[in-house]
Amino acid sequence: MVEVKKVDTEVQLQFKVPETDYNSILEGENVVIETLHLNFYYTPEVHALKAITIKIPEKKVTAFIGPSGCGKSTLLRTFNRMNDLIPGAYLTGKVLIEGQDIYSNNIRLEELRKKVGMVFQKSNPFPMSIWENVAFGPKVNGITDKSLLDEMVESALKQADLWKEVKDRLHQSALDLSGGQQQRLCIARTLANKPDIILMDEPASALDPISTGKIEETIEELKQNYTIVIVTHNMQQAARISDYTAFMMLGELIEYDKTKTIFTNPKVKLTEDYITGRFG
Amino acid sequence: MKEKMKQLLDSIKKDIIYLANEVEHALRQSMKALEKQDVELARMVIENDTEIDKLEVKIEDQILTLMALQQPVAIDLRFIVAGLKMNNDLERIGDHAVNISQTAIQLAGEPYIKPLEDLPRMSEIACDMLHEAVNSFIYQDTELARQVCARDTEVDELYSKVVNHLIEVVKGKIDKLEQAFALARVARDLERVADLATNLCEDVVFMKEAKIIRHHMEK
Repeated sequence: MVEVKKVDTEVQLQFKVPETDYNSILEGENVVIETLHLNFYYTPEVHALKAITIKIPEKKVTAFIGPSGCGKSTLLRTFNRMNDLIPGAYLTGKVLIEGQDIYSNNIRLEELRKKVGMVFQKSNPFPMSIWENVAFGPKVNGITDKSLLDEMVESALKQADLWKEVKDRLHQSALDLSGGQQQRLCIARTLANKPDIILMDEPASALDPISTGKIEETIEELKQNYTIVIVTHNMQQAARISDYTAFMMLGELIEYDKTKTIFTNPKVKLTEDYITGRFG
Repeated sequence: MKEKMKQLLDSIKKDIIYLANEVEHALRQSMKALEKQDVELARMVIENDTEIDKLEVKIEDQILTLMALQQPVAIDLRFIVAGLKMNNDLERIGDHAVNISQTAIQLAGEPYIKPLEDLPRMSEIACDMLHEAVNSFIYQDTELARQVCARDTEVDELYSKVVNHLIEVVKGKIDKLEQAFALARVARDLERVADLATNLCEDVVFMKEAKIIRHHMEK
């Protein structure tokens, strides 16, 4: 497990930005993920996240944007402790999921990862059948009833908008699917574990525009039932699919607001310079 | 088409049609107020213009948001650019209805120097052009749009006729100069409405065919 250091040092922030008014931005929303003064260090010298305080609302799509190395993927990975296996890494501050500190000792990692699923940039289906891929998680969690598993596989594939394309070949290898289909299969595999939150790290960056469009439509559908946090270097994609957007730079959270505000009237000049392509 | 984009475009189209109906109603009411010398009706048109202005701002906001977040291209981009211009033109027609209503209030207490005949005819044609311009937008009917554009000369001719006639009338009744000016302003408002209805139709052609027909650029 990544070490949590209780003592926090004073963090010098490079950018002076106005404080985010979460009460106003997230009025009427239910916050499910919250970080409090979160610092993440890959090594004592590599300070990847600097004093990040952010709130992420339920059943909405929140996008993290920013130049390479800004810390957006690192932040995403703190939400289901995917950074745990990095030797020497440590953090200070807190990450709360539904009010619970996920770095506290009484957290069961399997439960956390079930609740907070993840989809990666490169689709990574297991070398087994489509059905087996989706049923994998529920089987690991002890479900053996074949008809129940069939139901879960069908439901997950339908939610990922893949069912119609694969229903007649569920027992063929997942590796025979196209790149876009493989990515939607990975989404289905995540959904089969019945998560509340889905983290997506550049889920469409390796896909063609048509497959990207399908993934985006799937995300639009999924937010009715799931909280989605997406990291993307494609600003247009963040604009199209997200409700809220966080702009990060050199490990700092620069601006967080409704996506419409970020893309039509950002408050911080740095954000405007980035989204208008003046740097980055 | 992406579902979200389709929903947003449909919503904008619906609002533009609603705005057009409101504006056409305002214009017809303003002319009715002038003909009947109905001050109350004229005031209602003026008051309701705030709602038209709010709707215009709302549509503009929707369009800017869609452009910023959804990156429309091809027909969607032309629709949104034409929609932005149409929104502006419709709001201007609403302003002309307000001008006519203000004239109606100004002239309510005095008999007209001559019976209103050509102005109501101008108004009927201008309102009809507006109505058909909106139909051409709803049904994306560029043939209809071109027919509407062709009617603009009818209104231009009537405008000249009304103004020349007023000049003739006022020559013998110099004390009615103010009224003559006011009625000439109404004629000018109606002539502008017909121009703006023509603009709407030009935008419909641009949207559907990607052709620019304004400035007589279509051969």
